[in-house]
Amino acid sequence: MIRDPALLQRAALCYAQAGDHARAARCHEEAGHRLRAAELWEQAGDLARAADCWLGAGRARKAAECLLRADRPEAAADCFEQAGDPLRAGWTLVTRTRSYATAEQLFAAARPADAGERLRRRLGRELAAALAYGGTAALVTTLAGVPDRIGTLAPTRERAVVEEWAVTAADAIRRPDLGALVLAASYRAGVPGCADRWRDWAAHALGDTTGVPAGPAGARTPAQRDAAEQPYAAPLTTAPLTGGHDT
Amino acid sequence: MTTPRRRRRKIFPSLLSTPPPTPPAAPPPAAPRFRAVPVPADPPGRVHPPAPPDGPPDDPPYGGPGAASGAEPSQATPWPAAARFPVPRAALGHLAATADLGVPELRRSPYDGSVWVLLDAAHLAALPLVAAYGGTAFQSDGDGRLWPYDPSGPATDASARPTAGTPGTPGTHETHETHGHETRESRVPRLPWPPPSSAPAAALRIPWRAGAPEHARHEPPPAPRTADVAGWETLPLAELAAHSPVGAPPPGLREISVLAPGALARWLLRRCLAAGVPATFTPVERLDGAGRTDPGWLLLRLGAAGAVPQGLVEACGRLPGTVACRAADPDGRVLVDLGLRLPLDDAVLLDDAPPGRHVVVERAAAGPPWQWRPLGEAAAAELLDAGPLLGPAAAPAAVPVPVPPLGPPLPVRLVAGARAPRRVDAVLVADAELDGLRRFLRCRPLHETAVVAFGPGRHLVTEPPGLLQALPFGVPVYQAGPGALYLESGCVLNPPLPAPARDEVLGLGPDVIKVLCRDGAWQLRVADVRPAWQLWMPAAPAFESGLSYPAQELLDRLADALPAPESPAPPAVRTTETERARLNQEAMEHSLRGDYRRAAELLEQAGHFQRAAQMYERAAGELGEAR
Repeated sequence: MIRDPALLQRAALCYAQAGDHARAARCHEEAGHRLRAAELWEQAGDLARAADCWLGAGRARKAAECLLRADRPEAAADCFEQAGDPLRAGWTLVTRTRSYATAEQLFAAARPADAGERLRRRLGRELAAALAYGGTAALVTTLAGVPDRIGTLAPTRERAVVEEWAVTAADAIRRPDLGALVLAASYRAGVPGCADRWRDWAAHALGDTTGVPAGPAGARTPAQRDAAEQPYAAPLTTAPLTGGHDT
Repeated sequence: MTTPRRRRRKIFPSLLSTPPPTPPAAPPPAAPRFRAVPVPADPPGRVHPPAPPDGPPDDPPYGGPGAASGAEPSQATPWPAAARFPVPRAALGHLAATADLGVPELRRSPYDGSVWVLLDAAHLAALPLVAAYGGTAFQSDGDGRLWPYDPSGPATDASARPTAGTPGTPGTHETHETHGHETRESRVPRLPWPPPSSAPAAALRIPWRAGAPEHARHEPPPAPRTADVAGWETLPLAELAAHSPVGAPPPGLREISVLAPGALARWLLRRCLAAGVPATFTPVERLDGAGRTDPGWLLLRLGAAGAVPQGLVEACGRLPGTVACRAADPDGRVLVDLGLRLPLDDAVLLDDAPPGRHVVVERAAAGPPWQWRPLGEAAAAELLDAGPLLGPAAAPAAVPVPVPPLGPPLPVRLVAGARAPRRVDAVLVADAELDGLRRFLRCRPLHETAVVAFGPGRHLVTEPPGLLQALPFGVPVYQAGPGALYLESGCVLNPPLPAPARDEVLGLGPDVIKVLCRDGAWQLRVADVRPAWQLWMPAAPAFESGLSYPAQELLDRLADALPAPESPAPPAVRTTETERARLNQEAMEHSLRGDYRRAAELLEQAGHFQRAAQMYERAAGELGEAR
């Protein structure tokens, strides 16, 4: 039975006004309004159905993000691959699952378009190799070079992605010192939102946010600027950290 | 090709002088009674020796030049040849192949049911084709006796036939074999029937009729003469055409005619109306072969702009006693069964049909052929169910339309169905359950919005769907429409009635609610709908009013001290809650009538968004079902 879409839409609006997002989403979905239904399913907290709606509406990347939030990394990787982003798909498999071989295939099949994507592809392949086989020398070398290269990447959004990947890779091989260097370089490069991410990372990974700048790079105080210029460079590059208390 | 011809020439001169043939149980004679004589190929122009002087001169068997001295002139029989076909379909095939020569005379043999075709001079060209259709060709001699036709002989023209003794004629062999030693009767074969038991003649063996007398089973039929065959029962061409091959009705027919008994015709007409196929009906009477009449028949003419639906055509043909036909002419003089694949042109049937009669060419398996006769004028199909016209201009006696017996009306029942809707739109509660309903509702949010339509022993409680599922008693019903028609959940009407029929048969109206359950049917009024909370509404207490003496004295003193405020009486405006209650009540009434969309709009206007949304969903589902 096919119900009248116009009446279903009115029903959905009434449900939304009454705060019943799930029923509103169901009515929108039945009426064929998948985008609106996907948003309402997200509001209702049903991320799997939201991902279905996103996928049905041709928004595979949004579906993948929903699936990541729903803790379904394999399905999210499929959606990223459908969206034409094999780097992201491979990265999801590397960081959220143990499908390193599949991730390596995805990285091998990816065709990076610029320097940022090439750097991310290299990070991904080396992280996959490190997690699969245990050798981290290549990844450490690459991570050590990220702070110098991150300021040259374009566009700015790509810097933020490289920063996220590099910090995640450093955390994965238990080298928060390298992650801190990357965040500091990103902060200096003026990547938007870097200060907040740095603070959150320091609180989560090191247990202490001392010395982390509180605002963006342009609004910092001279003391903060000095601290940012020399974050943990001398001691951290020589010996890997094992915990936040050593700092 | 020569061997069969020679065998066919075996003539048995002693047959005529011998006693009648013995039954098959008789022991065969020791010596062969007949002996086949090989016939040499005679050169043309061979002159045979004359007949012996002691014997009588041979009669010219076929007339012709010697016919002048013969005893029977051949022109006494207008049919110089005949053909026998063992089955009617063979005769039909031969007739279709030679239709350009005209339709010959057809006879049915009383002995074995075979079909005999009498061929006049114009049809002699069809004689060589007889064998190709499994028949046997005969030529008649001057006495009118029939002889197997000899294709190698002279031309079929009787006047050009050779006289006796000419090679190639049946009498020739006798002349060769018994020359000068036999009598006239023995030399001239007078009885070519039954055929001898040679190979080609074996094809002429015919199964005797099962109903034939016992002696006819053992004795061969008498020798046919042309006059005998002509005296047999005439076989109409329409009956012969009924043996045509049968197939499925052709698709894409724009107009068909259906002859149906009255009760079935009414069903067919209703189905035509439901399918949107324009149809007319004409009362007719059926005439069978014995002259009996049956007046309870209708001739339906179905004509569609595009094509009559194939399902309807097949339904017409499958009903018992009903014939779906196509008309060979606009007057319907010849109606041909749609399943028949006629090898003949319709014009041949029309020429053969008796004038003023209406013939039905039905497949032979359906029974003997019959005719029909119209009893009135054609009328539109819609008039079959129309009531009598009561206006002053309509005089009932002026239009004597013979209405055939249409059968009793079918009872409509409520039956459980696997595909019946199982949703709960309302609940029907009995009188005894009202108290339980009151106690159940007063603690639940349902009491704010539910309404109850009070009725004769049963009361309908309705609410937007979902809430009523929790009601632990009552009979769940669903709104089947149109209007306020409720059926028990899980049940459907059998036979199913379309919405207009439900409206008409069940008498639905804007102010009544009809509820059909398996244990009864109830009619409730919309005017008796009340909010559910009125079930337990307490009686208003007795309010004391007025002023006591001290209060009155105090007020009087105050009035003297202070000027009276000039406050006009506030207008009697409806409070918000009152308005909401009114909208809710109105919405429930619309919901009871099945107008869910309007009910949803009213509920939305009243601010009941959740219930409005449920009502919108219900309206959407109702529209979806209607599509």
